[in-house]
Amino acid sequence: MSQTDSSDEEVEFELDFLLYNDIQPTPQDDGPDRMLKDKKIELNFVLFYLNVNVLKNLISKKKKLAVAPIAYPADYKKAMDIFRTITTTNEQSKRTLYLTEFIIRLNPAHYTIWKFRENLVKKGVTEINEELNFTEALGKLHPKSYQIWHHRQWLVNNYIDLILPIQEIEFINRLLKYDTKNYHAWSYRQWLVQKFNLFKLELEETEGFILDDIRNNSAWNQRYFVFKMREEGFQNETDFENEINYCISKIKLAPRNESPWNYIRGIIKLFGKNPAEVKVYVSLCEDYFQKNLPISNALISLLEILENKIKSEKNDDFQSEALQICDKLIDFDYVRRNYWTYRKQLLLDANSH
Amino acid sequence: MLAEVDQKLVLACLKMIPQQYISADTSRLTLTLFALGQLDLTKNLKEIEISRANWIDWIYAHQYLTENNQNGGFRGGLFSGHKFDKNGNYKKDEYDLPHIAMTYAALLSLLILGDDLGRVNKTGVINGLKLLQSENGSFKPCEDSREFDLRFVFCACAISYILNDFSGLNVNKVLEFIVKCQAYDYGFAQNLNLESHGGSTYCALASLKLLNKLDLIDKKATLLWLLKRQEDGFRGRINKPPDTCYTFWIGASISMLEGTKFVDTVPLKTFLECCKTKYGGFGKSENCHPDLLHSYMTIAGLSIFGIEEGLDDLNCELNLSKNSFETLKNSCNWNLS
Ligand SMILES: [Zn+2]
Repeated sequence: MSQTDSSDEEVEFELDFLLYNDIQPTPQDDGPDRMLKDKKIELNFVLFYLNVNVLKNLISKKKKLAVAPIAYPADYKKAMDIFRTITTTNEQSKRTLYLTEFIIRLNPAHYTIWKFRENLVKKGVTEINEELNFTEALGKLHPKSYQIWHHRQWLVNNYIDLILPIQEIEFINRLLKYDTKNYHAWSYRQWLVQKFNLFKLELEETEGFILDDIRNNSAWNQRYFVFKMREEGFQNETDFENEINYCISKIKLAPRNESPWNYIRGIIKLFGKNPAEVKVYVSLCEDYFQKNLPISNALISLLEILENKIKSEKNDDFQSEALQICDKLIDFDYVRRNYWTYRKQLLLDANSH
Repeated sequence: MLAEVDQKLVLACLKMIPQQYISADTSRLTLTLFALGQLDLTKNLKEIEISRANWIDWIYAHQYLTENNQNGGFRGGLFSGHKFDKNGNYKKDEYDLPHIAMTYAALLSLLILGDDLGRVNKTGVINGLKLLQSENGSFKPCEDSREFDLRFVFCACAISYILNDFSGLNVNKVLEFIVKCQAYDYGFAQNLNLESHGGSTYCALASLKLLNKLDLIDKKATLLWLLKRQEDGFRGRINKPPDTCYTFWIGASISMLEGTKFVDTVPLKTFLECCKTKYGGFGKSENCHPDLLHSYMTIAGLSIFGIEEGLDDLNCELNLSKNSFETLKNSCNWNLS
């Protein structure tokens, strides 16, 4: 039985089916249709596509009971047949632990197997550290599987004394290397940051992520999360201004990047400010507008400010500038030209009343 | 024709799908929905008429029965080890539970097959929902899960709508939760504080629409967030590459906010054409294998934006064809108004 390890090398995991000889298998009963039960069919993608026409024609000739049956790999079927029996006998042992690992490696989305494994961990059939290594190895192979992340979170939450929060952040960082926008990783990370109050560290961490990739919207979102959820929020006006300046410096590096534009609007709102009063922000937008640069997010920001102003005071200057912005958006943001034409019409309609 | 009238690949998939689909072994009913949904939208259901009654039985075989109807719904596959029974089965062991997303997929698939949902244990399903809502209003998919998020809120709303009974959820808490999932950029996230996402935005808007509460949110700002996801195809998140499934997630959301007229369908169509495979069907992006989810969602998007003639219209908030929605309205004995 091979052990999982957390190195980048993938270990082939083989199951010795002889270990389970005494367990009466429970086959899946997919209905009276015998086709799947009688024949061993190894249908991989290539074979499948070569036979699309044959398979398609079969359907009209013979009634089928199961819808879209999966051509299970023989080992998966064999292992599942054993598993269906042990959920009833509830055998909690090393050999059932191996069985769960074998199935999970083939199908990490199998939530029933994960639940069974969770009970094995509770029972002490495996060491917590080994289980952490297992989830890490699996996470690298299947980073988008919800179950792996939920299992990890359950482990950390239940065996909190055995875990150093900072090591958990390092674990997430190792997995984020494969995909810096992994939704599950960021979700788990938020839980961890809140659970262990790691906000201070996290602010620096997001800075690192943004430095690596200024377009990583997950990292921008995480930064917003820190300011929103940390107890002190923004400590004072200077704290807020520093953040605005940080964001503006990032916008200037890549002005077409949508992430910091959304972020700066979010931060201004979070601090309870009126965007029109944040001078550095307004002049940044106006600068792009005056220079006639195709930075649609600057124009959108400016349009929002002007529309708010128009609401509170009728002023022809505001109105004509807003219309100009719409014209530029129709031009620069071509794919959304129908939308900007509509927004322009709204302005004209409002003015004629 | 992008949606391909004869639907060759789907008909083959209904017969058997390759082993790479084993990761969907516990959610086979979603594959059923994506396969049947394609035939429905392309008006090709007559091709499978011979199997219709058997498939209805096969879906009902997933139903979870309880003694006093204290729980109900559908399992995602027949993997628990029951003997096949076209009426469903009682709990086999502690690991055998219904799953809310599978109940949703089962109800939709049954409607597509023209079933009147007469054999659905309605009381059990509604009581089952009561076991899944958390304090903050969110839902988990099954009793022993810890995955609370917006996806399952949508499933709960859609199930309640189809069965015309919202007593299984605390609606006020649901609304509170949905509103809190709106991110600072006005897209919706899968859970509080997470990054805005096309799929979650669909779940939020569809739930609100089903509850007749779309007015609770800033629709203008939300629509702009959605429209900005278009590059040529739609992207699910800011600065991520386009993916065909967002033709549905983002497209249906735009449609619920009455914004389809603002979308430039020319580059969208070009993108989708690139993602069509030589076998028929669509992959998630160029040079990808076709799969049932992305094929279905692309066709749903083609219908939403009227890119292709001859497709049935889509009821966006349920994700169901007009034709099958009629079945729900006319055949089910709790008649929706
Ligand atoms: Zn996709």
